[in-house]
Amino acid sequence: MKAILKFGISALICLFFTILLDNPISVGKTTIPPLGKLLNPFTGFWQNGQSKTSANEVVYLEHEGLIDKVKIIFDKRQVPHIFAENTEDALFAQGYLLAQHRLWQMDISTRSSSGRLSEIMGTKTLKRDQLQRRRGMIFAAENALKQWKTSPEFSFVKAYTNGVNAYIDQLKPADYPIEFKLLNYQPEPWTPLKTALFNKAMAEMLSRANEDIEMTNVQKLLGDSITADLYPQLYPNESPIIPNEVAFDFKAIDNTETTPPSMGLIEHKVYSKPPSQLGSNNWAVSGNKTTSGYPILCNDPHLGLTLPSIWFELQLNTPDLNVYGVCLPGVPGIVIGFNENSAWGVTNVGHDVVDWYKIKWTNAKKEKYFLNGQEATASLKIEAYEVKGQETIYDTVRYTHWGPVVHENPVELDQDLAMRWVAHNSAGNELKTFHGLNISKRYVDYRKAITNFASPAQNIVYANKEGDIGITVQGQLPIRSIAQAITIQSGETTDHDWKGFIPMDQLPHVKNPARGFVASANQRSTSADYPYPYLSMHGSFEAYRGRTLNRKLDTMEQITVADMQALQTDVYSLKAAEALPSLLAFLENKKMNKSEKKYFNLLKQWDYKYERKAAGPILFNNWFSIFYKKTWDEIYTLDEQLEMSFPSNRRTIVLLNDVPEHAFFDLQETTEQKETAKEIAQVSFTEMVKKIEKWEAKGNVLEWSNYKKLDINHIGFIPAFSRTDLKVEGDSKTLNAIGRTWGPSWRMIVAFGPDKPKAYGIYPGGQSGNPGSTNYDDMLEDWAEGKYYELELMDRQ
Amino acid sequence: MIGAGFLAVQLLPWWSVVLVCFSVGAILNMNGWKSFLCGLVAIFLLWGLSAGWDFHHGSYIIANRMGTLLGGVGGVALIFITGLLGGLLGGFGSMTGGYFRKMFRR
Repeated sequence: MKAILKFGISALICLFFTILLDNPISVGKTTIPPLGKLLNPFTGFWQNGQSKTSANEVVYLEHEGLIDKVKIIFDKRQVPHIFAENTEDALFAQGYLLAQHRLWQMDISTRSSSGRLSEIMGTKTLKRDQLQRRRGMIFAAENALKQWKTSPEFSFVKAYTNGVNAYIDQLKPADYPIEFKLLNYQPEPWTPLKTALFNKAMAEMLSRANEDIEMTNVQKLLGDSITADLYPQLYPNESPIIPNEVAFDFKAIDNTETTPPSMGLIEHKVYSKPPSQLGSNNWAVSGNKTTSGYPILCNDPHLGLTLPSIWFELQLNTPDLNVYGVCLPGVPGIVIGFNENSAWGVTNVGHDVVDWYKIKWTNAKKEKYFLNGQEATASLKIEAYEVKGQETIYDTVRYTHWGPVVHENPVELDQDLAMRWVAHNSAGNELKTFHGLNISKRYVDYRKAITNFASPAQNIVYANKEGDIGITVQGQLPIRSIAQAITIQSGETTDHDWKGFIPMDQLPHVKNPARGFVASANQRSTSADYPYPYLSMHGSFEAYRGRTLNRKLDTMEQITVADMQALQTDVYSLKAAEALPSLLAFLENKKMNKSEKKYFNLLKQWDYKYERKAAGPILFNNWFSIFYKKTWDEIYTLDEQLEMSFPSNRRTIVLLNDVPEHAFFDLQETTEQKETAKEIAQVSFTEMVKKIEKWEAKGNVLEWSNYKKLDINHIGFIPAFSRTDLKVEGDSKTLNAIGRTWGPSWRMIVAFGPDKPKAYGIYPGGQSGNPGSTNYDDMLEDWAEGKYYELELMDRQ
Repeated sequence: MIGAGFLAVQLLPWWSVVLVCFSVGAILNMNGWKSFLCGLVAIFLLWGLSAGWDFHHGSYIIANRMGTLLGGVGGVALIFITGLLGGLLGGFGSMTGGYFRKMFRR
């Protein structure tokens, strides 16, 4: 009896302990992953030691899915140089390698985009997932895939998919990337739809932003006259991408339009906007301005910075293809790069390509709505969410003539908003574009390749060995009036429907301009002469980097690669240069205490550069921020109740300089006085001094790189896999544009010459997505210091 | 026990080590505490030395990061924690095996 008892208790303890270690444990808010699975040395994290390949390794890829042989040479940073006999095999290998190094990134990005995070993270991500599906992300990807399937380039996606799956198929649990082990789930097969989803995720990041709801409220609350004053579309001294001299001699499609009626106040909250500063710089200088006599092309896309990076470097080489550059994990081909003859790069066009329509349902069932006096039937899509640890949840998304209904009012029948977004069913074929660019030799090849590109609209810069440079504002851009673009429209009539899209051959472009360079930094595309109206998705084009870039390139001669590196890492701020003189002038004759005098002098001596050791950036940024908030106090108050758009920095500074008596400088709360810009400048200065004094008193050194913080977080926000509080220079408005969690995600310079081009590049991360690898974040420090690596376009092996 | 544990996990899930210790504990027919100790030491060594070997051969980066993640311990400390966890599993397993065998002893 006693023996049975002893056995029983022992067996229970043993069983309990084993099961405990095989399952996740919830401790308060955190969940500890299954420790037995995670910690055992045979299948746990101990097996994630290094990446599956090493630097300087040569691999011969063999698989039944390959047509011919493939050789891969990894260089010292684990950049693979793929040598194949045909394009499909090269892309198969690309898929295989991206899976080998970035599998979890590919998985989580497409889950995030398609609203499937809850499958692995439970209810906390359910709302986010629902929003993604309501925005029509999967709808958009499915439409893109339908297009691809009709084109011969679909074989590229199939080959790539086969490559990814070839890698996944041979994985044992011990080989799963660490994040799968931590989140306790397995990789699933890749599909062409996922490639389309990744592209749409990029489209969302770069072209979904808009201020329609906010501006509808602004117009209703402030009236047309004040709105036009505070929120202008155009500024004095514009410096657009396409030089002013370029004439538009074509017959534009008629786009005159009556102003649509106001839709009243919109109570819906705007969820999760993409960050407003994502943008980029690119430019190409002609041989007339370089010491070599050949063009130099540069590009640095500004995106959210993560570990692993959004980019992966590689070379693709076949008898018909030899291209080097960066690719997106999940998408075949090279997105930004160069070959022996051509180089190209992209910046975001940033036009508003989203419109919202107010739907009037016929009854509470919300199945039919009024359109042009008739009843139209909405198409109802049932979305299923498999939530971890729960029953599947169902949600209905209603698709109207305009697009999916994203904002719903649970009570009223006429407040729902449907979203129309170019990316939902864009006509383009990115596969054709990138392949066309990858093999391009001449300017005409570049133009042919890019006509297939629809979304997200990009300023595509080009240069080649023959000496041509050019830039095109390329994308599918809707034809409608500014008034329609700015605010919410009625969804009951097709009167204000888009009149179509700007024909591809009427999109702004320029080749070999007289000034000897082409450049873009997300500023206004054209002069006011362009016959099609357009709007910035952020309200207006502030163009600090754009104007700085054009001015600098205009004066530069005898340009070298070093000059281009200096330009990409330039930290001069036009915003500070335009605002500070007036602000300082308003302090003349003001009585100042010791601290105030000290900071005043530092600001007077400052050269507007956001350098590491400078004090000016800290003082100016804080001063202007407080000044801005006090100036627009009325709008902040209104914003507490309803979504409001805020006047731009640029307009604020124009008023500061030219209209210091403007009514809005008056502070709401001080009813006895009427403030002007001068009083606001002084009050803000005093506040800023107190704030920074306190900060210095805590032991902080008054240097920009101490104050400015950059976090490069792991995609899953696991602190142990992230790099935070990096010391950098620059700020969001300088050419070297760096925010809190975003910045130049890739820097590339391609210099043509009589032989192969010489190229330089770097990104803040590492080729391997494995936090256990030495190539996970090995390039970070060099990037922060503004260094570059030589990029090798290897000869055919 | 060490050898069998190593072989089992090549084919079976990570907890096969518990079954192995159970079997060996039953075969060896030791009494309670002795059996526990035997399993404890065996799998402590198997897991600990394997982890240590991995650490030395490239896993030090991931071990250090995982240590931070799991409560701010060092990568080396994780080797011991791994060994300890394995040891407990092995110990309970072989102890249960010993008691199982004892049920049939007269």
